[in-house]
Parts: sequence; C-alpha cells; structure tokens
Amino acid sequence: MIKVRRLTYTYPYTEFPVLKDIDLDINDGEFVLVEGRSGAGKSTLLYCLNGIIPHLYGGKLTGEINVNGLDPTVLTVSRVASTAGIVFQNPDLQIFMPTVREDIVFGCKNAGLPESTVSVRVHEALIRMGLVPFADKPADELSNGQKQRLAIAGVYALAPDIFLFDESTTDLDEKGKKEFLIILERLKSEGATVIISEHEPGYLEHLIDKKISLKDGVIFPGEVEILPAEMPRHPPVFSSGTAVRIKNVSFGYRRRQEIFTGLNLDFRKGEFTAVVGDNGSGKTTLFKLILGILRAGKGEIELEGAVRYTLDDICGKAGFLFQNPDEQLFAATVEDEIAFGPRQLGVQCDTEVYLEAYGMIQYRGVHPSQLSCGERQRVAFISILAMCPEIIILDEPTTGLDRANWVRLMDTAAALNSQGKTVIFSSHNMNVVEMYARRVIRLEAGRVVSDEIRA
Amino acid sequence: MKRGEWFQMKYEHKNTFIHCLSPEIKIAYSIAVSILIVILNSPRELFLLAAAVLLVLFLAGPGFGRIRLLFFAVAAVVLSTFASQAVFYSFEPKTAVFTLVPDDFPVVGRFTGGIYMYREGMIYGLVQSLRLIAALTMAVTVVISTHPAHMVEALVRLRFSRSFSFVITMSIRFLPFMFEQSKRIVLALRMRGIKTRSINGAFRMIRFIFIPLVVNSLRQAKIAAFAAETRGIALDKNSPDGRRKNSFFDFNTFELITISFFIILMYVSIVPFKMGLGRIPFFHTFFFSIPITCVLFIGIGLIPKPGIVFFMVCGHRLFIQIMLTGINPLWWPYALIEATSLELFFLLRGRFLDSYGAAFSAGVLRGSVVYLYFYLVSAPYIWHQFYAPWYIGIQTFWGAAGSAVGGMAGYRFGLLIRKTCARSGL
Repeated sequence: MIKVRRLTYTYPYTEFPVLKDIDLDINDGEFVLVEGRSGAGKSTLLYCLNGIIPHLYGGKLTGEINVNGLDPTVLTVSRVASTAGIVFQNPDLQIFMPTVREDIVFGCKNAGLPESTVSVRVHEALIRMGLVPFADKPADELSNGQKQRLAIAGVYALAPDIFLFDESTTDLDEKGKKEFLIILERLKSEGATVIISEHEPGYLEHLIDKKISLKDGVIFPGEVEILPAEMPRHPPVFSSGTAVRIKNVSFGYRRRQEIFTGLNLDFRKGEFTAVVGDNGSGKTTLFKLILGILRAGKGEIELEGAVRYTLDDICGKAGFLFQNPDEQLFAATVEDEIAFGPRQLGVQCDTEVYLEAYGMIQYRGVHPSQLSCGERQRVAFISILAMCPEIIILDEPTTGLDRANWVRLMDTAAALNSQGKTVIFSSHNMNVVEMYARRVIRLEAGRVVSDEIRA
Repeated sequence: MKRGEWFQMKYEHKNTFIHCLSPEIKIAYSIAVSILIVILNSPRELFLLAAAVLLVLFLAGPGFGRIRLLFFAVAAVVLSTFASQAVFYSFEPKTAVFTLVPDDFPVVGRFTGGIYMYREGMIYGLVQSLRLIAALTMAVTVVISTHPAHMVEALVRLRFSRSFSFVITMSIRFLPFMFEQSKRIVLALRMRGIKTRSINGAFRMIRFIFIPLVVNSLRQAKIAAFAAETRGIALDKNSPDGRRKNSFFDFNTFELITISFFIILMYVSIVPFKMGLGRIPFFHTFFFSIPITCVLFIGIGLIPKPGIVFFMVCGHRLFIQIMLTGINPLWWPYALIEATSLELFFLLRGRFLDSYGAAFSAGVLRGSVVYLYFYLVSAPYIWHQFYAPWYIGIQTFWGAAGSAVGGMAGYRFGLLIRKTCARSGL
C-alpha cells in the first residue's frame, strides 16, 4: 500500500516546485499508469516513491510518503529498493556485470542475501524474464529488449512488492515492446503492484487499474489532453528526379557477415519516407551509407548526383538528426547553435528567420541546456535546417519525446517536405509512421521486406 | 597495425586451462614476471623467460588475429629497440661494427662525429627487446584470458577498496557505451561542417567535443547511480537499520560513477595523441600531457573532494592495466607519486582548482613530478633505460608545459561544464 500526503518537491537550484500537494493512494496489486506531458512530474513522482528523491537529487521535499510501511524520505535508496524497485529508460545504464547471471546476482549480493536464497532468486528471475537461454552470455551481446528484461530481472531478484517503470520502453523496438508487455502481464498476474510512466501507453490499456494524470505538478482530474485535436495531414508532393539511388549495395561491419547484400533502393525527390524495422535490421546502417559515413563494400550510392562521396562532401546537401539532442548541441546560445553549421560552411545565415519561423525567438539568447528535451531536439533540428539541406534524414527523432513534442517536430519535417525537401526517417513509434509517412519501407535483417506507397 | 586494432587486444571467451585459473593466480603471475623482467640481466635468462611466457600465452589459445597483432607489435618493439640501442648506445667500452654515416660526411658526419652501430649496443638492444617481449606477452596472456570484471572482483578479494573497485568496474562496463557516444558527437560535429581531416578542424573538434561529452556523461552517470542504488549498492556507510548517515571523506555513488566516466575520458582523450601528435620526437611529452591533464582537471573541478586525484589517476592506471597492458605493479608508483603530489598540493592550499594560477601551478607540478620520476627513477632502475641529462631536461620541460596548458584548459572547460550543468539541473 502506498500512501502519499501533501507531497511537494522542488529540485535544487530551482524556484518552483515540480510536484505540488500530491495526495495519492495505491492499493496492493494495482497496475497504475502515470501520464502527462514532458515536465509534468511523472519521473519525479516515481523517484519520490523509492527515495531517489530526496537522497540522490537533494532539493526540498515536504509532505508524507509511506511505501508498504517504509518512509523513503528517511531510509536509504538501497533499503527501499527491496520494497520498491525501479527500471529506467536506458537498459545499458542499468547493467553492471559482464554476464546475465552475474548481473542478476549483483543486486542480491549487495542486499546481503545468503547464497542459497541468491541461487533460488536468480533462477526464478531467469525463468520469469525468459532469460534462461542467455544466462551465461555476455550482457553486451543481448538485444535492447533482452537487456531491458535483464534490468527487470535484476530488480525482480530483489523480490520487491512494487515495480516502478520510468519510460522503460522508450528505447525498445516493436518486438522489445511486445516482450516487455508479456513481462508486465506476468507481474500483474503475480499480484505485484506496478506503477508505470509512459508517453505512448496505448498498448497497456487492458492492464491499467488506475490512471494518475499529472499536469504542471498536480494531479489532474480526468485525462490530460496530450493528443493533438486533429491528426495533421499534408498534401502529397509529386516527385521529380531521384534524391538517393542505391544500386546493388553490399555492406557488412565484419567480413562474411553482410547486413546488406545487393540492396537496390531509390528515394525520389520530395518523398516523405519512413524506414521501419526492429533494432539491428539495418536502418541506421542504411542512413550511414547514404550519408557517406560508411562505405559500401560493393555497389554504388548516388546522392543528388554525387557518387563516391564522403560525409564532408555532402555536408550541407544532406542533414542528419539523431535521437539524443544533447549529442548534437555545441554552442552557448540557441542563436549561436543555429548559426554554427552555416558558419563552418562559410555560408550567410539569417538566424532571425529560423527563430521566428520555428517559434524559438524567445529562446534566442538562452543556453540550449536550459530548454526541455523536446525543445532541445527542435533546436538541433533547426540547426540542421539552417544549413539548407535538400535531403533530411531523421534517425529515431521522436524517441523520448511526448506526443505534443513529436507532433511539433514531425510537423516541421512535413512542412519542409511540402516545400519539396526529401525526408527520410526511422521510428519505432508506428503512430508517427502512420501519421506522416507517404512511403513505408520495412527492413528485416538488411532485406527490404515491404515497400509501400500510401495515399 | 591497422588503426583501431590495438583495441582488439581484449578478453576472449574460451575455456582453456589458463582461462580457468583464478584471477589471483594471474595477478601473482604478472607480478612474478614483472619482477623477473627487472632483476634478470643476461640475454640467456631473459630469452628463457620470454620463451616461457610465450608458452603460457599459447596455452591460453589466442586466436589468429591476436597472434598476428602480437607478432607485429613484437616485431616493431624488437626492431626499434635493437636499432636505437645499437646506434645510440652511450656506455663505454663500445665497438663499432658498422658505419652508417662516416665522420667526414658533410654536415651530419662532421656534426655528430659519425654514426655507427655498436656491438655492445646490439646486445643491450637484444636484452631490452627480450624484456619488452616478456612484458608484452605476459600482458596479452592475462588480458585475453581474464574478464575485466573478474579481475576487479579478485582485487576486491585482495582487499582493494570497494569504492575504488566499483569505479574500475563501472569504467570497464561503460567503455563501449562512451566510445559510441563519442563517435556520435564527432558525427554530429561533422554533419555541422567541422572537417576532421585538417589539423585546424581537429583542434576545433576538441574544443567543441568536451562539453557535450562531459555533460552527457554526467546525465548518464546520474541514471546509472540511481540504478546502482536501487540494486542495493550502498558504498557509503549506512547503519544496520538502513537509515542514512552523513559520511565524511567519502564519495557517493553518483560521484563514483562520474569518476569512472572520467577515467574512460582520460583513456579516450589520449588515443588520438597515441596515434599522431604524441609521436612527434622531442615534443611528445608536451602533446601527450595536454589532453590527460585537461580531463583530470575537469574532473577535479567537478568533484572537489579529497581523494579525487587518487581515484582518477590510480583508477586510470589500473583500468588501462586491466583492459590492455596486464596487471603490472611496477607502474603503480608512477601513478601513486602523481596522485600524492597533487593531493598534497590541494591539501596545503586548502582549496581545489579556483583560478587559472592554481591550475597552472598544479599542471607544472604534475608534469615535473611525472617526468622526473620516470626519467630519473623508473626508466633507469626499473626498465634499465638511460637517458642523457639534456634529454631529460627537455622532456620534463615540455611535459610540465603541456600539463600546465592542459590544466588551464581543464579549469576553463570545468567552469563551462559547471555552468551548463547548473543550467540543465544536473
């Protein structure tokens, strides 16, 4: 049983509370969805329930929290972990030991459990999470979905009564999400209390007992409106000429392990194409080949008429945006960030135009790190657009963004497409693909298994 | 050796007799071989040692790629050591057996008095080559047959500090992750027009890469620390009832993971210099000192606590030994002296890095201590290598200058990173 009363929390070095006067009751065995837009306080609430806040974050917390009789504001995170375990977004950051089995043992040993109990717990965790075939495999060799299952197994082995999931499916592909759903169904059937925060919770509908909708740090009665009122539909653009031509390309990172064998694919100018497929199907590799970051072993790639080019040759003709905005921002202000690329190319750029056009004028002198994740991703995108590329490639650009933010980002891409720019993007979020793509290419292990044009 | 192949000298998952030995035995083996390398002096004894160490390597069943790599590394070591000692041998008596440049040759011959190959130099080169072959082969055997995490566990059993071992474990765990992140940032910079192939472009790249790399690492370190704490790790002192106590003179989990990320950054930062600028004769200590001191001082600026230098410097040394060069205690005093001198400097000042002057002084101290120790103690008494006083002076000067430049750059970057972190709520 979780009881929260008048919980108010303010992060260090900030003035305003992220959570305000939260009252909450969650019964044993309930499956609870915490929803809300980015910055609404979802993760903060979860962190309060297992002591990460205030112990590891600091800040000012007032109010009462009772988690199965424990007070996480007083006890250590390690102590509360055996009652309320948490799984985060990025599985790579939650795995600490070389093999699957050793990683599950890690938490049990830290908890000081006797050897006999550890072996029983580890065995059970391996079975429940479907990891028995990988037990002695190096954790690095697992897929993202399997890694996330391992992260859950590590928590499961501590036998907590409450499982907290903080956007744990963000990095997973469709297959990984299905596997994750099976685990959640199993936890619910075992009577565990599950509290999950998700940006795209549609797939959880049949499990949810209770919804907590957060808006600006307070529990909002009813559902928070996170869907745009109308699905934006953009007029199709008529193609003329070829933007990218891939002719009989073969490529592999290692000898005799080719990802692509004799791949043929054309992207016409002005197309809006989604490349979909599970992790490891070759989406990012395809983009890197198109951009000249990787060189095809056999065959030829032609981009805007150029062949045998390198990334430096096509810089400015093609723009590439990837998942994490923080790896793509370098300047001290938003305005400088937008001017950064054109300056390197020796091209004049009127930053004011871009700031106005994309609604960022109020942030011109702000350091990019002061913006929200969605805004940082937009700045990274605009910074690429400022280099006036004809081809825009977006690699999982919507990962980690809430619906409102990804709609804004993809609307920008759609608007550019309607001006004749070629847009190619990959996404695991099929809502994004459904809403925006005019052509959908599905890759499976480096093969094009379907290529459909949509009306 | 192709670019990047050096990184391939890593653990191979096999089931040989050597793989099955406990890491403690391998540590004992490393120490024994290291001591023998120092105390043996005759070519015959060293040959027997090198042959025995090679035999142990073959018992570990290295793959063809590793053998090929080792062969090229050994060939390079033997040729360069043999040739340099044969030509630059400085002890007496010495017998010239081959004339490379006669003494009456214009300019060079007259200036140097002729360049010859000496018999005693060749023998000394051979002895040195055998030492290096034994050290290299021992390192490869231990590295390919012991998983880094198991080596760290052994160090814990051997009473290494748990916090320190945790730092090394995390460095090993997050190395591939950090490599990928660095590659993505470089890619993002190239997409924005930074050319990597020019020297100017490379320097601009370094200027822009540090802040996103460190700030991102801090974000990741925070999540990893949360995950570690929720998996029950409690590296600070807790009372038995689980109530939190304020611990003094200690690092929390976030700081420890941050230190482990900085150890990786120290390692990653010197890789480009190992390949290029760090090989420029007479100036290599200057170029080599800049990046490593820069990262070290950023770390000190972010976690200004007693023990930070020790954790970063000794952690970095041990991390490299576990990952690449094999456990070799002969290099430990080098790291300990560097760490102790800087810790004492900050202790006596009563403050950590708070000005460019402090960064400059600490940099000069670091560079002087490190290179004087190497050339005056480590090289002659451990590695049996002797250098002329003028050469020691030049190298120490450049090392101190490089450390001072790196130190001030680290202080500057540290300020910018702290500002960025404060803005983004880290």
